[in-house]
Amino acid sequence: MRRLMSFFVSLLGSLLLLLVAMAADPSPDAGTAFVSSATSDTYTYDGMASVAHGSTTSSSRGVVLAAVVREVSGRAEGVSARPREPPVAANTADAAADAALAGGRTTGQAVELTVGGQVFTDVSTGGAPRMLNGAVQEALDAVPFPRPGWHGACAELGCLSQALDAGVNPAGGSIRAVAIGTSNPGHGLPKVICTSCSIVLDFFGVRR
Amino acid sequence: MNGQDYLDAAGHLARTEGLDPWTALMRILLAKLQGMDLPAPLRPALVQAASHWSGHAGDLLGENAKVWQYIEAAHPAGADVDAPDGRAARALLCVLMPAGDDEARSMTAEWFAAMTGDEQAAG
Repeated sequence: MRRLMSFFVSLLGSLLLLLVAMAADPSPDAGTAFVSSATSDTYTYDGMASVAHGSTTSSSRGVVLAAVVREVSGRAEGVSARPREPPVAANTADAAADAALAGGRTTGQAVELTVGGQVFTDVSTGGAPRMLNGAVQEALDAVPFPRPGWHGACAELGCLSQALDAGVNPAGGSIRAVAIGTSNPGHGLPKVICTSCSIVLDFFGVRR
Repeated sequence: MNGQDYLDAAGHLARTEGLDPWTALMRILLAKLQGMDLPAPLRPALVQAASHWSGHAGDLLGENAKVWQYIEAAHPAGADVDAPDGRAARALLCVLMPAGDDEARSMTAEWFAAMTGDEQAAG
């Protein structure tokens, strides 16, 4: 009888340990996304979107993941003084807009630049600093006054920087922008390219 | 306030005062800026903007250029929006644009809200 009791106590202890371990370990997908973001100087919308999708669960893990999403999103807002982010893991402006929205953005624009069979996507910074390719910065600095307050923050410039960094001449390419969230004219709808970006795009020979 | 709040307030002002939508938005944004503690070098531009949008045409383009010169002298390219004075300057630029359509009003309101700390920006 004592051996039987000892067995049940041991079994109960193991079950408790298992439950504690499960509660402390978020879902594998979210864990992977968070680790890859947290250990890098840059944050991709790929990682953010993965975490955001995990946050839609209604379990207690969902609560934990929602906190993680806020943490990652908050860090992403604050990191852009560092070198520009790598390409957004989306192959259309629409997909980039959806990923940004899922990652917590409520306004802004997503852009795709198509050139020579390659696609570069990016999203506007949301008011965070953006570091640009040197040639793009030079073109931006040559835009005449008056310049709007958001001059230099648009996603078009991110796409151009990505292309040039990859050794791709954007001349002859075409660009398309869509709105994110509540930005005019509404999520996923075509967005007008601003005057600053229009001048820079013309300089690089990109069609609108 | 977020960008939509500024647009709504401007819409109300445009209706009640008979203003065009751009001027109404500029007056709403000016009211916010005038309650902020702007760096001294930026204050003349705010005075010019307030005068211009109250009906005394001023040199907005010249003030726009001066604010950009301030930004570029004070911060490395693109890093100004990480600093309080840079964000204030970027917000001030919103009232130093002479005209704008629906898209410009939307972008301006969202960007202004972001720079004054209210919400993320469109740009």
